[in-house]
Amino acid sequence: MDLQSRKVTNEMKVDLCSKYFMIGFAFLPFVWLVNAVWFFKEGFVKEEFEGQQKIKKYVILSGIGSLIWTIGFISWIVIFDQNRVAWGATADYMSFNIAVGKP
Amino acid sequence: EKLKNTGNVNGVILPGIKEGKWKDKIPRAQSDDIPCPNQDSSLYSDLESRCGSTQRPWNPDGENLLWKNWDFPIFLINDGNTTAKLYDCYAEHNTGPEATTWPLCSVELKSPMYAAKDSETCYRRSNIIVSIEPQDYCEPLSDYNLYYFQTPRNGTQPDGRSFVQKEKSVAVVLARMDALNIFDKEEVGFDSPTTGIVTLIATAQAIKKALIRSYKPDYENIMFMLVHGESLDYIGSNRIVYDMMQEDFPMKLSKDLQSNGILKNGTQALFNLTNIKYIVELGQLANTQSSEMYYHAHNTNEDIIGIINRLSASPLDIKKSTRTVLPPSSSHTFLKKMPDIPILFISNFDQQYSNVYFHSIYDNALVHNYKYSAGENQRIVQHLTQIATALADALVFAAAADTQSTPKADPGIINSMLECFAETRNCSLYRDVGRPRNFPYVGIVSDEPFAQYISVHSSFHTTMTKQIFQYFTADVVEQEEEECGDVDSCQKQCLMRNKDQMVYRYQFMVGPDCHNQTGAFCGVCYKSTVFEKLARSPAFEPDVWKTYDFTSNEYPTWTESYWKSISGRMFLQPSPAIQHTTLAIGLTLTLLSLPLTYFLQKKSSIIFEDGASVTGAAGSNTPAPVAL
Repeated sequence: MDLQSRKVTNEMKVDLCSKYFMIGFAFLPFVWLVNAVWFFKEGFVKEEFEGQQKIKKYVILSGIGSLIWTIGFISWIVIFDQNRVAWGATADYMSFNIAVGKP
Repeated sequence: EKLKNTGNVNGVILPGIKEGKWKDKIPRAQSDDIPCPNQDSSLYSDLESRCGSTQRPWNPDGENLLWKNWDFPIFLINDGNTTAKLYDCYAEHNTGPEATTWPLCSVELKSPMYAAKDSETCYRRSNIIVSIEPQDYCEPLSDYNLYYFQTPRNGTQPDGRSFVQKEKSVAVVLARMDALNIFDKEEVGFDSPTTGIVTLIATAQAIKKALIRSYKPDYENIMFMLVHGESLDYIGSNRIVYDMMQEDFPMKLSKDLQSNGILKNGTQALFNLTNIKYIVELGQLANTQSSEMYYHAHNTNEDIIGIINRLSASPLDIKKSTRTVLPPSSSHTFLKKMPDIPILFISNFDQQYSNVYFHSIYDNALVHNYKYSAGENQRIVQHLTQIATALADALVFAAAADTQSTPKADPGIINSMLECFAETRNCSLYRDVGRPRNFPYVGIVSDEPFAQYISVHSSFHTTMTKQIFQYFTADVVEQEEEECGDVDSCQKQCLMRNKDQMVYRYQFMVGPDCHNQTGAFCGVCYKSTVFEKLARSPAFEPDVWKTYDFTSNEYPTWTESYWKSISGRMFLQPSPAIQHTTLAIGLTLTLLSLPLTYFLQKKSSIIFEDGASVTGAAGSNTPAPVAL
């Protein structure tokens, strides 16, 4: 959907932004990231219009949400990578692909 | 070891001694095993007893190449042309006054292994089912043990009652069947295990020919066993003992009864450790250095003394060992579970192995002065014949009440067996015992003997050993009046006799009169009491491995890693300067191309003048002309 087109009303934009925000709660951080990036121009660059406050709120919250997820993922990846060998059997049962030829 | 520790070694190539530049350059002594073989599965708990003595261990030439972790590839190259090329390349390019500062002539060795850490880890990983394409990392070592009963053991007596083997009523003769060294497919050992295998089979044949008509009151049978995987902490003997204790030897009788008599045509009575009267184990027997033989006795009783006396009275030069502990032997496994079994271990060494090439690629026929063409009268053949005759005689004297003749071993069959096991697989005995639709009548017959390593599946070595054993101890099944037809239908009819019974094993082999230059044209049905049983560590049994404590040392847990193809290649390497330059140019080009592309795209309207060819370029503000 092209947000620049005249057929898209402001109400539709707000509705879309809030829908994306809600969907992101279903463990979908990438939806939040898309939401934040896509509506950034609408929320912060364009001139004031009806409902822009709401869009601002959703964009900020979506951004924070995806940031938390990213930090979480990176932390888990680092921890698992460092401790996989030490955890032995537990780590093997958690893995989908275990590299050949490495402990 | 020292080279490894410098950290500078990336790989090792060993040139073979069979042909080429290094032909016959055999080291004075070389053993890949440790000075105290199988020390972790020894009967004894102290290192002193495990080694014989730590000052003078059983295997003094042991360099422990097998059990170290080598993090670089070690290749053996037997082909004379290749080793010559390697040396010439080095001499031409890497040495001399014009030599470069980098290794101009280089070799790449690839030996990728899938398993890592230890058996427990890799076996566990192989059994995790996560996707539809499971990945295997390693496999447990596995092959087959062979066992032979002198007298057939029909589970049902003539009067209909079932037969129960009496306690301590069976004499057991035992030898190991496998060799080991660090090079895959090169594991052929002359002194260990070939002399043992050949002597055991020759002894069995001698006793068979003597025809025991009845036993003395406390004997019911004589059993011969060839156990596999003994070089790796006694895999085969551990499995046999486990099967016996699980009431699964020779087969699971209770299962048979439950399934409404799958073996309705004949079963064998169960056999376990309590039925063993004593064990005579054959170790290394070659007389390369001297013909003196030694016995190491454990739990000596009057039966053992009887055997010793009879052996000493024979022409065999046999003395009591000066050691008080039992050398590394399969008997250890039996003793661990039943400590009072009398053992007699016969070998060619007293305190230390006389074989200086134990478990190495150099333990071969050449080094032990054996050649098939030298005939039956050569030293080693006569020596093994003497041992087999003396042992057969001693056993028959002890066990038999009535025989047709006194046992004498046949040097001709010993020579034939040695040819096949130690010289070449293209030998006449393999042609006699081969099956018509199998080796050697199908496939390529090369000149090397079969490898005697246990590996992870059954091997030609085991199959041919079994057939040789059957051939020398079986009775020929007389053909009925009518012909059985062609080779395939004869074979089928013969093998049909195996159906639903476990008292005899019928084997269809070509035999000495059924083959000529072009191949096999007929065959013979042999009725034998030689059986095979899976030789895989009990630790990997489906209901054992999940809860088994791999650090407990109770069973051997050796596995072999999966691997992709192993290869090597030799090439001339460009100098580091050239390699760095190439890399630098490549990087520069890549980095330059990014801004260049961006620049071209942005200014495309100026660079490419034709207006009509402008399509969707970013930054183009010229509206396309509209036709009216």
